[in-house]
Amino acid sequence: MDFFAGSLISGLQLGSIYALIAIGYSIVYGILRLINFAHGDLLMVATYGAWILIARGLSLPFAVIGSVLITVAFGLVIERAAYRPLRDAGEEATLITSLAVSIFLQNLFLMVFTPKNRAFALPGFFSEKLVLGGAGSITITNMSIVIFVVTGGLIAAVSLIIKKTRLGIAMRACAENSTAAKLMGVNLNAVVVFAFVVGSALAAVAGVLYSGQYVSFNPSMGFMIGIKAFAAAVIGGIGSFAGAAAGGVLLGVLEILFACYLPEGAGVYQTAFVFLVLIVVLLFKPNGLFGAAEGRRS
Amino acid sequence: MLEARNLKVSYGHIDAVRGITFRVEAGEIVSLIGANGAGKSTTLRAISGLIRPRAGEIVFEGKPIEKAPPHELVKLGIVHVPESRQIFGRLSVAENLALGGYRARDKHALSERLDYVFGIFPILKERYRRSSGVLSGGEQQMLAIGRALMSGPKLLLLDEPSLGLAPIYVQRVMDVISQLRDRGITILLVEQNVHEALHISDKTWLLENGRIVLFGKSGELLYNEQIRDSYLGGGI
Repeated sequence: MDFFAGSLISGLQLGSIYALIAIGYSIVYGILRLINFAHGDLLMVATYGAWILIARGLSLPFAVIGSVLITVAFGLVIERAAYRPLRDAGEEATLITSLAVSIFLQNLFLMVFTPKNRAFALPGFFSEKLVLGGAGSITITNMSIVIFVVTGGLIAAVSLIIKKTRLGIAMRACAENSTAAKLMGVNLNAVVVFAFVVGSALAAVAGVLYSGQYVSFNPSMGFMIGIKAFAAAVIGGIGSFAGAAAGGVLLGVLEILFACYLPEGAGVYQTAFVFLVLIVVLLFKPNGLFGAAEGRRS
Repeated sequence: MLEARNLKVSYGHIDAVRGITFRVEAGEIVSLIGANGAGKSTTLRAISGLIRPRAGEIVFEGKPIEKAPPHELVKLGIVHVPESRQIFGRLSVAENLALGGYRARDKHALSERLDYVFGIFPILKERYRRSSGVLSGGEQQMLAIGRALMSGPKLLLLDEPSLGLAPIYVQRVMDVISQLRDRGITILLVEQNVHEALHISDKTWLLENGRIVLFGKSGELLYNEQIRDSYLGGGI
């Protein structure tokens, strides 16, 4: 039981990081029908950004803020230089372009930083443990608490922005029918920029939390996490905000439970089992768990 | 107020509008009539900036606008209510109306306009918090027009507002259009319901195959032989 509770905490922690990334995939897809495979690599950009800033002597909070700004800048440059010129060229063209951007970013960082594994030197505070119960066998690190508080707060904040603010409503309108939204006076480019700012910022925070928790990182780290978060967005129903958040958490929990409970020897294939879940969900619910039926495309 | 000069619009190799020139004077209801594929909707799309004309000029209050993007045109006061309404079905009635006022920053003006919209379409007040996807066709058309009014338009482009509506709603919508004109909003109306269009409008331009073939006062065109034979089903 205690082992289960411990696994569940680890799963929720990994899942909430996936959720942050999946939301970015989902809001960009909702507006542009673009599957942005370079989204995962923004985590890597954020991680290196924070790492450099810490090495320059910035305190941790400022390094994180700086890393978010750097990542948002990357996101915006990618949108402007790679995706906007292809806005009317069709989904295949932008999909392939996003793969190219992903490969470009990875290789750029390989050139600059070499493939060497790096790690953050985090203050001891983060690995201190709190006892939750089970006579001392269920514990939670301060890092986990930070992850839960930060991801929970960000998901709630972004959800409010999308529900209540003028730009948020415009964003949902563009996702449903961008032509009609233009006729209301909505500047589509402004909404796309907004989506990339939000998505990149969430990816940046996710990247720093991920690398802080799971120790080492290198320029290829974004690929696998990106693919998993993409799978999470699809399981939840790509284009749906709540679906992306739920899909992310679900995927993280399953991944850890697979790793902990699969029989000896099968646990190392946890990732394969995660994608098996994706296939099963799509067999029965092709639009994902929370997905709306495909809306009007214009 | 609005003038198109030698306007040409193409979709790829297909010429939809082949050089038309027409005017809309302030305070009028002007209708563009014609058969399916005559180029009526395309003309509206060109005016509201959804499609860039291949050639020609569009002048609004003395300024050339043929290169302006849609959101700039909304700011100038040109609002397009597209064919088949295109309300945001996943958003609430309230959110649809809020989007209509997207460019208007004056809170006071917005709440006055909302009251005005509720005045002409009380059903929207009743359904304010509901999802707009569940509204009937007639109610959706009211929402589409109400939404357009939220920006405080000077020129309203209406594309087939009567299409697919029950007769009772057609009459309501036509009444509202006259009411809007009386309130000082200029209206460019595209209609396949030629009978209604001629009755309600001040002037009418007839389009065929992307060209203007006839222009006149609507009241006189009701008795025009060409119109009666081709569009009003002979001798009503």
